[in-house]
Amino acid sequence: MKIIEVKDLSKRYIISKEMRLLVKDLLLFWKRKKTEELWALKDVNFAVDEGETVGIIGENGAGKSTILKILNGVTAATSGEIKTRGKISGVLELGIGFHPELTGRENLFLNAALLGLSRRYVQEKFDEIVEFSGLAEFIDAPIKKYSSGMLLRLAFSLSVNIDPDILLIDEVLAVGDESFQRKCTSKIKELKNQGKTIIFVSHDLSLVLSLSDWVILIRNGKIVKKSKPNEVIAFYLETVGEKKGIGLLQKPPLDIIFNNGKAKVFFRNRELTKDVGLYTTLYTNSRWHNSTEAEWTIERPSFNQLIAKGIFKKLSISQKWKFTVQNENEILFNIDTSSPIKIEQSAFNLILANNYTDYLTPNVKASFPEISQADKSWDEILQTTAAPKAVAIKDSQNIFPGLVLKPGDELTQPRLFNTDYQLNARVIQLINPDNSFSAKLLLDKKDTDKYMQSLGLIEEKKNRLCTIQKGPLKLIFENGKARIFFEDIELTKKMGLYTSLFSQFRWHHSTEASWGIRQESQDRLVLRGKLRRLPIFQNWEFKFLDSGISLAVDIEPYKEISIEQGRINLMLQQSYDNWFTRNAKGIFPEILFNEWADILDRDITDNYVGAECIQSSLQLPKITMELVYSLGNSLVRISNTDFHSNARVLQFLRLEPKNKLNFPPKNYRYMGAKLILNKV
Amino acid sequence: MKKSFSTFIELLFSLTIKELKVRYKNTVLGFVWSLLNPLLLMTILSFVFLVIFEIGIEKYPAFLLCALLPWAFFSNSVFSSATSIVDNANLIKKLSFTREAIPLSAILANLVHFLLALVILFIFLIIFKVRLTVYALVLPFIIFIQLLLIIGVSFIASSLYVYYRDVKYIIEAVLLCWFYATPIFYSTSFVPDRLLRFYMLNPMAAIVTAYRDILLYGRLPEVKIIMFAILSSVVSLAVGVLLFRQYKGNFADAL
Repeated sequence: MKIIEVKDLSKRYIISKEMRLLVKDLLLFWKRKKTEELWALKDVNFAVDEGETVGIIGENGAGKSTILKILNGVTAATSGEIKTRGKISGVLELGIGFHPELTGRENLFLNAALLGLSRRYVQEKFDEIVEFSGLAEFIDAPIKKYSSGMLLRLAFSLSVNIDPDILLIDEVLAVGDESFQRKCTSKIKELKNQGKTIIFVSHDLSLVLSLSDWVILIRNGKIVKKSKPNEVIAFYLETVGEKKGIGLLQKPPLDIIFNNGKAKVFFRNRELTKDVGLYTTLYTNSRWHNSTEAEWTIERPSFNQLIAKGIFKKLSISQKWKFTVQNENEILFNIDTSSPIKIEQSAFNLILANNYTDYLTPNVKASFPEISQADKSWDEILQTTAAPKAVAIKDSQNIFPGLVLKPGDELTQPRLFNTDYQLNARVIQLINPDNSFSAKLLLDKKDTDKYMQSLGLIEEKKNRLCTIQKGPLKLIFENGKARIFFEDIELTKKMGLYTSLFSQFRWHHSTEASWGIRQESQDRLVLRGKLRRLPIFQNWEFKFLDSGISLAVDIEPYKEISIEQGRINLMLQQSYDNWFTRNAKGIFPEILFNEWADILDRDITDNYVGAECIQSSLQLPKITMELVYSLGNSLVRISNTDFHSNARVLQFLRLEPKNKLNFPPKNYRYMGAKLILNKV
Repeated sequence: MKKSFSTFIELLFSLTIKELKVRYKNTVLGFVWSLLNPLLLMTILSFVFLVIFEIGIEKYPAFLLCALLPWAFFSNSVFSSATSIVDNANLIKKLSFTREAIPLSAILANLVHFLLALVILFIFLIIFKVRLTVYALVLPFIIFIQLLLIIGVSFIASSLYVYYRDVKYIIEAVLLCWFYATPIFYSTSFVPDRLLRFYMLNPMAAIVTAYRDILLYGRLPEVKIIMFAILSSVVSLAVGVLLFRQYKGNFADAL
């Protein structure tokens, strides 16, 4: 059974054209009176289920408040039937019945009695009510001393503690400052969660959209539409909205509602934004101004585009917002500002629900810290020197779709924040010295990580760090090079262990590729890299041996290419001061030059090369690099690097014979080496 | 809207307290001022009728006060409750509660004054060496009957005032005449016999006579008078309640 049933409700007001006097009416009772009839409501029919939140919208004077008044018992219906179940309480206006001479306490009790609350109930809840209002200090002072904000808080605090089954709210939410409105809204959400039935009248369509289960549109006393929130609001806006600075962009399941300088985004009827949602701020004349302070008009050049033009009257600054919905999960926006005076700073802010728990940029992947009661101001989360190319946030529970915000130009810098405890939300902010913002907002419900990748935003992602370890020996693969550690001391330096190929007149190093891990196990690591400038895949396999590690390098061109030379390079710490091969040995000279200096350049009869620390205080293990296989002509080379890199280099070179440079597409076992370490 | 009776009583209580508090919040000796009017009137009337007219009624000031205070109760109650609905238009238009509480709270506030003023009356009676008899115990009953009359008249006046704004002036004029038509500064023995029947149709005449009988003369009032007082008060109450109930639904629209 419904909790509210309204059948054929009509309300007529009789307005007498002339002033009514008792004497006249008594004496001239036979005379006809000039009156006018006004039907405020005509045949209104609707029913509400328990626990539903219904929004009523319409022009001023349409009859919205009249319905609430009749439901609340303030005025009687002319005809029709109303059936309700349970206790009804109306918050039609706050602070009614407050008398300036009485104290806050006295007024609370008076107002409570007027609202139909028993004195005992109020006494029990008194402390709670006073605490919610934050006015404990002033509660015994006469309210003529209160500020208007304090009055509102007192009145609201009482009204919401009524605990009725049905709550009627008439545009109360439009009153008060931002923090008060926020408190109101969150309390209503709380009541909604408690299963209360709520009927509310509001002009804030974005609020109606986010709170209501369904919406009634009233025009001239009649119900014009009764349906799902986005349908009714869209219908309403078609006729009215644009003049009022409200516009709705829809591409199911995406809804964007722009309301006088703030915009809210809904996906599958769930609001992704929070509080003000999307808005801009600018700092000029020693003060911050926000977009809700301007006056707005809307244009709809096409069904998937909305242009809002705002003017900050006192500053003569104008701002133009352009929203384009490309498809059901992509919104493009462009915001331009023109100002005769200097704008010191401006920002684009997107306040989002705190269901978003993690964030990603091309370089970082982490979780948002929790917002605690101690947080009284916004907290910047991401601190990077370079502006990330895009920023994404996701909900670890996957209820909310992942969002990727991709700035449209290089000057725009994204920043991430946690808000204070009261607002309890995440913020993506864009800063741009030109005071214009363009960005793309993409929504994805599945895997935000993969989505970022697919957008080409995380190129380096495939070059993940990878570590394998056996005993004291550890290898860290990173972006196409391997670093080797013995007992946690790094033996390699700078480039470490890497490969290079000479083709098409230049060198292609393994660090110039995107790498992915093919296989990873206790003692084996298989990697595949795609060189960026050469149509070739390189497959590396690291395997732990008894006292070392082996590397097998295969190449897999997918187009025929010619490779003249290939190398396996091992860059070592400068502490290695002695080198050796099978047949020779020596001391590394000091590194003094601006370029690499070759120490030894021999062919591969010396099939191993090595280095050791003899004089150095750092007792690094002796490294021997053995060439396992190679075709073509193989050489061995030992060098010092230049002064800046300050390292030792051991290399194996493979030179292709002049007539065998071409490599048609196929997998080739190219080179292999073994690294043996001996602890000294 | 169903409101429980106890909620109504609590509301009535709250509104009455508000009336009293507001009236006296910023005044010193606040209550005393409201007593001053009947005392002043008593002094002037005493002077005029004792000294100038030589009216010859014994213990005249006490005689006056026994009627003046109940009259003040009646007149002030009717007058303040008549405008009470309109004065509280903002409450009526926005909140739902039992409308009767508004005029009733004005009346009850005046009742409190009256009861306090009775203390002064008793002091006066002692000064004038009036002996109270056991019949003085009938006092609460008389007060109750007067209250019914007042409620009836107030309900009629307050509901009419919502729709007809000249009611205020009509009430002023009516109360003025009514003062003279009630045996306050004279006794009923001054009324010519042929007019007495019509004269006694005035419910306040019966009530005032009753007050005087039990307090000043220490005797029970005539049965006829008591009966008539009860009857007229109940009728007035019935008419008032019904009229008020009929019109209260649309108060919010007319204000």
